[in-house]
Amino acid sequence: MRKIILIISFIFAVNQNIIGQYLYSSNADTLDVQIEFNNLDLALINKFNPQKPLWIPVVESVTQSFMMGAFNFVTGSEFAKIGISTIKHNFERGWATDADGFPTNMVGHPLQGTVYFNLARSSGYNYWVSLGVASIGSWQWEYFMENEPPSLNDQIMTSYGGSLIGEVFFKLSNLIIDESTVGTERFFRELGAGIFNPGRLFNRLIYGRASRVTNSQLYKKDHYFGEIAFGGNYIAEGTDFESGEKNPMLTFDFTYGRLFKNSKIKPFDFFRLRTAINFKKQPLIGQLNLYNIFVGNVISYENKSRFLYGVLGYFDYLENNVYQIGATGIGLGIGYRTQPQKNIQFIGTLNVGSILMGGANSDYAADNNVDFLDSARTYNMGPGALLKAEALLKFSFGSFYLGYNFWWIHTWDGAPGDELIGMLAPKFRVRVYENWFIGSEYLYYHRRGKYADLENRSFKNNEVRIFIGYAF
Amino acid sequence: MKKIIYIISLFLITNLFAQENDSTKSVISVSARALTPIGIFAENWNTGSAFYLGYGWIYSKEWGVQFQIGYNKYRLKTGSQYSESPKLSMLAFQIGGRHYFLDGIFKPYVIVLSGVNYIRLFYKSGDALIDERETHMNFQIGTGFDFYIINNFQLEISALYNSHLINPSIPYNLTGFEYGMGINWMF
Repeated sequence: MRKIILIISFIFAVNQNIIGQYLYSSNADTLDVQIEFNNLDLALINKFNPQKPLWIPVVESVTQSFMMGAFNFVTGSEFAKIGISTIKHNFERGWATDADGFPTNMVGHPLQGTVYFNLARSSGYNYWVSLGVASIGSWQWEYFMENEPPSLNDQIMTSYGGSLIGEVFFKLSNLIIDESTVGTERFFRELGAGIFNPGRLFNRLIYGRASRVTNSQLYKKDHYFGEIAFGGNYIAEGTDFESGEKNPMLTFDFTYGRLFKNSKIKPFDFFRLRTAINFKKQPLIGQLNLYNIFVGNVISYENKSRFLYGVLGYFDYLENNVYQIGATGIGLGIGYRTQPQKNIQFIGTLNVGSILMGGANSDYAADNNVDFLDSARTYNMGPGALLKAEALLKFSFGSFYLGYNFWWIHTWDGAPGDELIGMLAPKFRVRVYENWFIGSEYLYYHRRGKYADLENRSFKNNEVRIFIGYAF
Repeated sequence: MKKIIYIISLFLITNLFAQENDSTKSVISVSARALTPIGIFAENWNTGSAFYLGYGWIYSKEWGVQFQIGYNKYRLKTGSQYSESPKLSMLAFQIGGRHYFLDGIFKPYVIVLSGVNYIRLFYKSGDALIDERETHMNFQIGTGFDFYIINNFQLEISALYNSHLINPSIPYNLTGFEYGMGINWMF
């Protein structure tokens, strides 16, 4: 580890030619930049992409549930053996919780929800209506398509969690779709936009949008900034680095839109997505963090700095061989940024919110069965609260980032008590050649489990990541 | 207390969005409802009655948001495990949204609500008087229609399914149906 840090420092120290084009474009924070395809002609959109009656995406969502249920039934899943009696029992029983695995509940169900969400979104409905359709689709699945009692944690994660990720998928697919193209390029654009957004791809195929050719600008494309990086992480068993797991990983960070824009802020005019994929012994999806703005207001000052306050949404998912954290919530946030300058800029945000549904590993969770299922899970679940603070210093040659996340999960199902979890994450990046950069991130995790009838537990853990990446 | 704060926060956040739309209409509603328990809840409790007072906004021809407070009371079933006229009542605080299918004199809709119930069960066990109080989340989904009577007044008829979430690990919670009739004043 020391050798790697020395090598990175050496490269930085001897590189005398870091000039000119800085790694981060500050243009994303000004109004002076020409924004392509942002001023859309609504009449043109209504002509080419008319809004479908609401019953269509609702029926599509229900049909999708039936197809998934049929697949589960045919492949022999016990929970898929449904009938009139199981549906009647579900209505009589009402909401409960389930004992499905952490990835299934905390990320699998939200991904299912993105399909319901985007069936409505691609039918011409806005975020809120599409959230409603995702909720209906999820409710129908829970009450009708399983012989286990309807799961409230799934309802929340599928509908609301799915809507957050679903809107990100919708915005990303907008960036990829280009209906002026033809041939191979067009095929791969439609495939690329549809592979993570199958609900939208389905509607584009049946409505003929995937094959039509037009130069009309129909899809909003805003500023974005992305980074893809490959490297490795080292997850220690505790706070030292003598024992732990090394693991190759791929990270993808994406920032869409402008957080401090002066014009009216609509849902998801800004979002920030961080993902990490593991390749060896760690769980495949190691990280999926998202926060977005729903509504807000920006105050501009004479020195061209800006202050923001608003309502934001949050989705967190972290899993490795040491800890598990999952949460989806909504809250209030403030932000401040200094005047964009070539050599340095500061951006800071502070968020406080409620967790609608969260989960965290617990030493005692496996001892607390979900009674009616006679099955245990390895994590506690429940609502709670969160706090997020971040500060970013942008330089001409790179950036330094410091973030702190805190989650409080009040156990609603599991070992009775509270999980108090914090994560401190400093990170630096240095540009080495054009858009290529190297960097390192340190994650300090601490958890305190406070239990009603059991001994409190405390745990701390280090993780270090190093990477080389490309910014676009 | 936490759940009440959560619901009030949702109400305030919804208010923030409501202020953005100049064409929003406000609505005050009062309604009376008949309650029918189902499942294990119905083993001890019979039909009940409820009174609700609501305030909401109609954003467009299709969408509305509402906040309501209600008082529910259930009758004991003959032969139940409880003796000597126990009382089960709930004070409900809810927020929800509705989608209208038609725009005109007759307006059918679907509605989803969620919130908090403050539940009180008061009964005798031997010589002791038991007063159990709990606060739990609730969920409702249903359908109904609004019918314009005169000018800004509507008659509302509804049928909803309830699921009150008591505790995830116990084998039942308070589920049932509500059938209501009320008056809406739009302004």
